[in-house]
Amino acid sequence: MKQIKQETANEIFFIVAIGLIALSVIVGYWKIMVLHDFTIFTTEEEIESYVPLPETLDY
Amino acid sequence: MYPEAIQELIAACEWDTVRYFFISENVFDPFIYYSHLTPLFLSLLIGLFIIWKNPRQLVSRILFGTTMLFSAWVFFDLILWATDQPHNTIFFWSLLVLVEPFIYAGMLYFIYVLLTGKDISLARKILISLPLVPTVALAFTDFSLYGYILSNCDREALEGPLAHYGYIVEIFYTLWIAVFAIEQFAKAKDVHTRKQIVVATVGVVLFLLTFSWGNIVGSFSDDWRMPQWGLFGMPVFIAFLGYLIVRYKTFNIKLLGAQALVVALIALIASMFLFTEGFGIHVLIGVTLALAVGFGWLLVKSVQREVEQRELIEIQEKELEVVNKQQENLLHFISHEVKGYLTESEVGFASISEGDYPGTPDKLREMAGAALKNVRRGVRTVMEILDASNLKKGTVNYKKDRFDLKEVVQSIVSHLKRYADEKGLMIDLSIGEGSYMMEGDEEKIKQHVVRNLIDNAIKYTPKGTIEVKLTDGEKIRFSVKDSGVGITPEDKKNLFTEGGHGKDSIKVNVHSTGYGLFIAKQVVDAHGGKIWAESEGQGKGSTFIVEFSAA
Repeated sequence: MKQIKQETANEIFFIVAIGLIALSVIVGYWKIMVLHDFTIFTTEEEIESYVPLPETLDY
Repeated sequence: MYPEAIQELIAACEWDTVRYFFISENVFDPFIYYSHLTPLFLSLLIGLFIIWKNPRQLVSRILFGTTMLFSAWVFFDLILWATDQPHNTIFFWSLLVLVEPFIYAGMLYFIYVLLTGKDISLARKILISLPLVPTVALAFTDFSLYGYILSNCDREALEGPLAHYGYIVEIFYTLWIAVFAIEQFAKAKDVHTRKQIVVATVGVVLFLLTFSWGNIVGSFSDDWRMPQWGLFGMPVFIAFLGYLIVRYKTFNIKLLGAQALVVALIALIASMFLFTEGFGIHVLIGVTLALAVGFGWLLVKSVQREVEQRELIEIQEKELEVVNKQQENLLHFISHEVKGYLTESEVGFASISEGDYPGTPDKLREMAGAALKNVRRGVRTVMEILDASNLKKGTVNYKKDRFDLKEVVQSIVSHLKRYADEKGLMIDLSIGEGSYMMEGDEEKIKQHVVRNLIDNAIKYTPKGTIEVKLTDGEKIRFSVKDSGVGITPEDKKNLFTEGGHGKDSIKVNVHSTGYGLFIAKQVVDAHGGKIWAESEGQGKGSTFIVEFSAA
């Protein structure tokens, strides 16, 4: 009985995990491949203003 | 569609349009194809092969899953090298950030199941999965990749904190594997298991470290060419896996060594097409490939035949063991039964020959006396067989008493003296000064060692003297020297083995069971002593020496 419960719990765990990963990939696909919702840096200045790179930090 | 300005910048880069996801002039170095396709195919092959051979085995499923993730990772990475579309770069790069830590988690799960032979608890699975939660939740957000860099034409993304977090998780999983393997190594009781743990762990850790090294160096140096070598960690892992399978029969696959070798060789030769040019060189590679396929097929077939023969021998060995066991049990049963009948007959003949029935004719008493002698010899023979059988079965109990070996030897010599006298042999007993007290089973030493050796000397010596010596030094030494048939060097090898007759001994004593010296050795060994024989050869007599520790 305990064994069956353990197996069921394991199966639920894997299904939930795979489901969440699949959901993340589907949302990501929609966001990036369909909506093209991501940043495109066209100049070095854009990168530096977006991300504080070590050489641009004021110490 | 991208805004017009972006489209113009993309067009200015003059990238090649990708075909079939990964074929493109953008992959400027053929080595990139070689460093990706070789591990990808090898990983796919090993994963599919293992799941095909053992689809129900948990460890095979985990390895299948992990090798598929690795193959996917390599393929996504190749897409990144080839693609000319920013959204492809961002999506597949994000996929790499997502998949990569899962390969490490998979390897950790693989090592757990491989080394313990069982699945891990749900709690531990959750514990292993916890560091992956941020990766799954944030894989396609700015935390993973800040964005696409179009300020140069390198087709790269700018990695965010999640990508760097992934590297920390990977190192954490690798350390976890190493610590767990050390724990299992310390727990392992036999060398075989320890070696298996070492081979499996070294293979996995080398693979993961090489893989991490490639990605971490690439990420922080922004030079993604050098880390291509990191992908060769997979073939290294496969080599270790192949060794595990062949040497320790992991996954119940027997032929993998030869098959993997042939497939790897063919893959390597075929991959040369990717980075060579010219008709002549391609013909040469083609011929080499055809030869590798032909000889590889012959090699696999030959190894297959050998494996089949080995399996047949293993089956026959097991069957033989069962038959031997049955024979031993039968022998034990028959000996036990015969001993019962002989003992009853012994009592009857002894009563007649010793005059328990007044009025018995003398002739009949004489016949009963002769029969009694034969019955007693029969009892001794059966007892020898029974004792040998019990010793082999390990069902003999030894007493641990203090006794004087000198008294034992004196008593046996005085008892057997009349048999020596009957043959016209002299028994010369010499006992040195000192104590001969020892600990052990007096009766077994007396009957199976002392009596047996002196009795043998009488039986195998046609004329001359038997010298029985007892000396006290660092150890108690008992020796019996005769001038009998002697022992040839070939006989010496089998002397103390079960049924180990000497070549000439059977001619002299046809009633010998061949168990006497075997039993004597077992008894001496059980007392922590040593027994051996010395002889200058056939017809030159022999000396049997026994050494015991003093009490």
